[in-house]
Amino acid sequence: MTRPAITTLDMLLIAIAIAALPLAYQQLWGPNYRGTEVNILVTGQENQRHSLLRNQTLTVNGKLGDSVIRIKNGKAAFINSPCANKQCIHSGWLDRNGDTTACLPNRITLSVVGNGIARYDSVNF
Amino acid sequence: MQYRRTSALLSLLFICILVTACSKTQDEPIYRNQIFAFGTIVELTLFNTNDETGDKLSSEIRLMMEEFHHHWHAWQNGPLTELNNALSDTKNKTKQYNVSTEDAKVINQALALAKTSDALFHPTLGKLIALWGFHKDEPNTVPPSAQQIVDTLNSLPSLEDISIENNTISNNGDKPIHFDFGGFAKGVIVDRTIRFLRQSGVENAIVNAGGDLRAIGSAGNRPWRIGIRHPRDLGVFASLTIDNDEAVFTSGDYERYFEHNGQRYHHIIDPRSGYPANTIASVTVVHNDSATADAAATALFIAGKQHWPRIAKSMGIEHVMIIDKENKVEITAKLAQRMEYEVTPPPNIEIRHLP
Repeated sequence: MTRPAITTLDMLLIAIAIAALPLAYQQLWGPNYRGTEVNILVTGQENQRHSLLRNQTLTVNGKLGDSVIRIKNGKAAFINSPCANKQCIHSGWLDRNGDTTACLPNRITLSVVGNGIARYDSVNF
Repeated sequence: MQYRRTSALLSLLFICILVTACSKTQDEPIYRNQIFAFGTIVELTLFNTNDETGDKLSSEIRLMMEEFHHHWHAWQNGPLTELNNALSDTKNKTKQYNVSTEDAKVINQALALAKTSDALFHPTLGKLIALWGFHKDEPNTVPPSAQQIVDTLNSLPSLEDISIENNTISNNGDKPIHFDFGGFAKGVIVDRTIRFLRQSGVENAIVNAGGDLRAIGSAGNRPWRIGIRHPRDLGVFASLTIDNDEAVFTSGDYERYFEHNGQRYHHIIDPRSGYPANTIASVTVVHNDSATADAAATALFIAGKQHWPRIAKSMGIEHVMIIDKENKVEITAKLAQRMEYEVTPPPNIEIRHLP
């Protein structure tokens, strides 16, 4: 008895491989926007870098007082800050390479960095 | 039969190798740093610059910006407040003040831009800006009274009251002059920083001072890409690539503001009414000179939906994008060709032609 040239299992394997090609292309060739670390800059102090993979809550002392920054599930955000408008908190969670927010009155910036290429080289606002 | 099966699997393997073989393995050689200077965050992006050189340039730029900030600060004691005091001092009968050639050039440029903007960008609104509380790190929480606004408007000089001759600035009127170069000084220092970088051998860079930027050169074999923030959201609204050397400046009602009784009062004050300009959410200007782009973004914001094309024409600005309060876009034809919208669904867009 002769075996068929391509079995059903072969066909299934090829179909899965072809279906996975766009994902592989995106992963290997496409830009990697996801951040890996968060960089905290406080005026007059050394930069702090923390992995986005480790969940933690940080208290950072700035010009006006303490700002609270939380890192959770690969994202980072200002949770509390002593400024009046709370624009830093309203910025929400950052996770993409290049995302940046700041508490200007408290002189603290929070920016996400990564290994890949950010979608934008700089953001105008 | 066996041959056909082998060739099919080999083809699949070949496709896999093709996809993976040339995948990117290295980051771009871009130096990025953020510094606090000029009362804001300054982000430096330098292509093909190592960390040692980048850190050295960052330190020098920070010092340069801090010195400039002190020099032109509108309400902290320094050279500008000395100038303002001299031009407002009733005992100083001539009300004149000598400045350096470099300072005279800055003031002359500001006055020239003010004139082409129909005085919508107005560099002597210091008292009005202070009345609204925007001469502080944390603004007021209540607006001034209508009477206070009228009184302050009546006390402001006109552009015709000011003259500059041989580096001597004169107040020819009877009202005090309080220069405030907000809406212009940031552009000047961005231009100076770019000049400094070029003198230091950097030809491919972005200087972003608190959201307003100028980019030169490229990121190697691709142009710099700039995102423009959504005025009502946290993300990016649109983006464009830089054509060799351009400044991108935006004025928006979300930058500095306070809310009182549910109403937002922002920092871009209309010199005609004395109140925050109120018809649009943001104006983005692209121009090769940062100082001009800065002043134009302010003037066009104040000009509003009806008059911005006329003022843009008068100021020599061809690349403008307006986002109104309903996120509708008005844009010049030249900028429309280059703008990519990053929001879904895409916004309603109207091409506006300059007169």
